[in-house]
Amino acid sequence: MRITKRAAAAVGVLAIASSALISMPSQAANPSLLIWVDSPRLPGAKEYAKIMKGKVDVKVELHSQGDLLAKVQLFNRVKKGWPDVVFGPPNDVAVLRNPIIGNAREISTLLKAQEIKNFGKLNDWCKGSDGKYYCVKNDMAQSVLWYDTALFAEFGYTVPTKMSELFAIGADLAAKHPGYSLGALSDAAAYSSYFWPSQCPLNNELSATRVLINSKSPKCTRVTAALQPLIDKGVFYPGSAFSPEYIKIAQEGKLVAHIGPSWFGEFVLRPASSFNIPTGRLTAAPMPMWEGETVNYSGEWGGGIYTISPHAKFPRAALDFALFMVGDKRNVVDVVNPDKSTGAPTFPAYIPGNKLWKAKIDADTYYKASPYAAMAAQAGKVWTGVKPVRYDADGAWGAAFAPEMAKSKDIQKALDAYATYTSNLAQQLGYEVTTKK
Amino acid sequence: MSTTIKSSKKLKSATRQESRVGMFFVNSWLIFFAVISIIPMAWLLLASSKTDPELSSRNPLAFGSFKGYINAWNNLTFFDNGVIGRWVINSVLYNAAIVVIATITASLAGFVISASRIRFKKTFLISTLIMMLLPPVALVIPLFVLMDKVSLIDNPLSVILISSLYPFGAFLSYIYYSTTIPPELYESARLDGCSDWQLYTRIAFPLSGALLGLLAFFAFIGNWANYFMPYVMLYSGENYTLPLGLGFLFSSTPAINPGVGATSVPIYKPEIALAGALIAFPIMVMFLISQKRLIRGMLAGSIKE
Repeated sequence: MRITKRAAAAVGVLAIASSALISMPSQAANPSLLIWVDSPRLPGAKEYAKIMKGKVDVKVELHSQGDLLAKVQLFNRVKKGWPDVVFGPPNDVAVLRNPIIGNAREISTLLKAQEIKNFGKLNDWCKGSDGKYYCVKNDMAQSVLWYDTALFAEFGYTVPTKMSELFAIGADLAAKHPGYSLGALSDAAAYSSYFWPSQCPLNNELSATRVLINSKSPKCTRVTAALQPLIDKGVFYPGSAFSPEYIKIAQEGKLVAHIGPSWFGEFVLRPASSFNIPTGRLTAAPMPMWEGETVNYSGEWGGGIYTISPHAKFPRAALDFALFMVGDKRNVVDVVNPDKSTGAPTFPAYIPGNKLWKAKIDADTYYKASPYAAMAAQAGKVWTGVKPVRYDADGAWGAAFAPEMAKSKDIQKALDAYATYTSNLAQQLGYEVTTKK
Repeated sequence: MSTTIKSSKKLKSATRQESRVGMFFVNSWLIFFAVISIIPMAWLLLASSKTDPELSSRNPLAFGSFKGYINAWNNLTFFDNGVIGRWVINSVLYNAAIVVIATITASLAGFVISASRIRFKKTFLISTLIMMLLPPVALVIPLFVLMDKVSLIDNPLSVILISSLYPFGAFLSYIYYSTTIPPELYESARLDGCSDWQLYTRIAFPLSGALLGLLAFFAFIGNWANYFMPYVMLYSGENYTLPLGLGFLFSSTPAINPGVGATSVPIYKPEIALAGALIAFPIMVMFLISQKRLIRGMLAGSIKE
């Protein structure tokens, strides 16, 4: 009987102890992190998971850019499933901040003073009108003037510092060297290379409910007036830089210069499968300045962002991942990419990471002279009048501008088509569209 | 008499000539459609033998080199330590489960609607037709919420169960069982004391080989390349199907989306062509294996005696 009582007591004690253990808060448990990235970012994210093993339980999942936008409303409905940190296209920050979606956390309160300092001007895209940060920009895609030094020397051209000088080169090419080109204008090329740097008011969010879209503004018409004659003469190609027809022109060595984003050198001008411009000819110069301006602004084409979910249980851990991707040598320089190259492929938007990347690009013997100086000069000169908007302003270039350019080859008409299309999109999403500030 | 024989011979030779002309046109027409069907498939197979620049510069039906296939395959498999193999295995497993479940349930449902004595058969039949008309997009939110309630989100079972819902198969089975098996057979079996279950297992099922082949084929075709449902239900890489994984892999490359621009993923048009061939190949094989059974199944019930 005594034995039974003792056994019962022991079982009771064990039960209480085990229940206490079970109900103990899991203080010792590691923070957990669910990361969604696209295929180019996957190796870096997996490297981070490896480094953090034992400290943070990192789960990395492959998704396409913008995938969260398609799924977040499903997650909102069942109130779970949100990834903690997501890589996406730049405009996502506005869409995710929309209260209906509510999936971009304000991160200023998480950032240390030094980290904010490290952003410099490179993370301005992520700054809301309240002065707070809502994302971490992965890379800058600022436009610069890419040019073929050999062709410039052969034709006796000097590097243009003003837009009028660039267009004079275009006129000279049309007259003396027909068949040579100054670039392609479709996709978002005309926008990031000419309209945005010219401060043409498209997608300028004035407030949460007002957006300025005016394709007839003088800042837009000066672009179309300058480009149209050169389109007509074949100096500018009205289609896509990625089209087989234009790739053929470039591969025949007829591309003299091309205003394009900082990633153009590595991913469009250089690869054998693309323009295949030979070693020792290319470099980049700062953007030419529009007449009557005091700053030679750039536009951007691309430049992804990391957003952190307000539902993340460990937001600082999520932020640490984003900062690792943009600032840590193990990703920026060392990580092995899917194409077996190493390091970050594009201009990091974080000063420490950017310094590491500079060493990499400076050491590259492909370029006649390192394009880094021009990229760095333009990095702080992206015109900030263009803000992220809640509608798909980037997709509209393919949906409205490109088809009209292909049909009529009239750039003003194509820009008007874009403005009409985006005005409709903006109104559907509750913006008041205005043509004046 | 001789005149009659002569004119008969003339008539025969004219008929033969007419039939030759007719055959010529019929054959030309068939060859034309065969060429139209084969050229895209041949292009798909040849595209991955070339490099990306060769795809733009060379004849579309020119052969590149065997090295081209190896390069494209290496580029696909190098990504994330050959995760593509995992996606292939997932696709095979999910589809095997879907084909088995969908075929059995559709056959049973069709039999019940056509031959059993349950009530509301007409209501079930109309419900099946309505389900056939409903676009899958309309069901996304209810299905997502339902799967969440049973904790199956991001679980392969969610895709398998939802994709096994096969109203077209149920309707096809209903037609088959209503037209191919005479009702008298069921009646006499019932007189001998057969239950509905025995009617199905002992009479209907053994007589429905052609139907089952047809159901399995359409279930496979409909789900092998399905992107949408796995896209909605799954979000862990280890659970992805081949079309879903490849979709995510390709979407960040300029080969499929020029606007993406910069990428360090070596996926170009030949890699995408090879992946397309990989996805299309099992469907081609399935079709070739089952074409006799398919034709027999499709003709079943077409003659009523």
